Amino acid sequence: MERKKILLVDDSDTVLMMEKMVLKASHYDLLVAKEGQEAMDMALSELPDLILLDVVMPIMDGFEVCRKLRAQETTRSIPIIMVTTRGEDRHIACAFEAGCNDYITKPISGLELVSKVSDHLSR
Amino acid sequence: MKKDEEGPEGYVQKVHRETQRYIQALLSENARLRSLVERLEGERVSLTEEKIQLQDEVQTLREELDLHEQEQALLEQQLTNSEGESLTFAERYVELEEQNTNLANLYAVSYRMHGTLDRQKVLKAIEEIVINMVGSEELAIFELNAEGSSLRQVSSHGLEPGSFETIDVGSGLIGRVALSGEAYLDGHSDRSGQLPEEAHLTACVPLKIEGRISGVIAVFRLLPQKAGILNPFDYELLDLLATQAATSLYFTALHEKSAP
Repeated sequence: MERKKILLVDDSDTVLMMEKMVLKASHYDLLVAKEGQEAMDMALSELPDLILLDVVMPIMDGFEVCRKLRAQETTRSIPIIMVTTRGEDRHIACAFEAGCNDYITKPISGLELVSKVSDHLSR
Repeated sequence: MKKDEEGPEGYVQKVHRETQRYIQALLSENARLRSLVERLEGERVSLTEEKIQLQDEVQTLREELDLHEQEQALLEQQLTNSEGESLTFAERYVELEEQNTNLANLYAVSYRMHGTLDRQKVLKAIEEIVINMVGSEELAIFELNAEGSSLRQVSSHGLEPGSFETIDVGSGLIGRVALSGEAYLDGHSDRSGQLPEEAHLTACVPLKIEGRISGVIAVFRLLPQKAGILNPFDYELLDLLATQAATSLYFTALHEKSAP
């Protein structure tokens, strides 16, 4: 069976490392982008099965990346899980308005991450 | 009856004929009733046999029902056992995933602390770890001056500019950590002697190398989703971070001194 491809987007090496370690055990192909434009380029060229997208990033934040991906025909239906330090309702609402499918708050729980990723990939 | 016209003999004969007819009718009725009794008796026998047969069938069905009930009880027991096992596996899975996350966090901390000899990168990594793994966007990193008398802020995130520039060793909760080398953990440590600006201090861990204190990491308000609570793993993480950060900052200082 073909391995699912996940694009991890975060400007923090610490978070990327942690996400990679947690998801590695589930045998996904993991791609990494450290800022918004790089994430856009990789999403368009690689067409991942799912994107794990940090909200707070310099230059182009996660909301903007999400909106732009939703505006593109080829990336419109890729599931996007936003990863945010802000767990307040209004931030979550902004994430959904931008077009994400789900969200995870930091500090990341490995169990939550694995189960949400698996859930969205199996839909 | 006109006795005068027929005479006594005629009358007697007539009575005799009537009597004969009546007897004949009675005999016919008797025969009919006998036949009816025989038919009913036959039907009774048939019904009795049918009843016995049905009773046998009921008995067989009861036995089958008992057997099914026993099987059902057995299956219910097996289901209960399976559910119990499933729950145990689920709990174990959650436990393992949490351990996996914790190990991933500890590994990331260790790796990030020793992945560079650039002091600013180390300070940035400490901030990232506190923000993303401990769950606070308000923190400050202090280093002890050469005399060991005061702490100087070398990096901060999310705090008012100018706050906590320097702290005398022994002063307030942060100064006390630098003096004693004992971590301050909100809810576990004494808050007496806290400075007004330390009202939101959640944790303060000493940076130590070989027992010598070189600074502290102070963590203030936690992210809303942490509900103001640090869990035992957060303490473990902060402890490891402080140890690794102290060593890493020490090496960066050595590197800077040795650099041409």
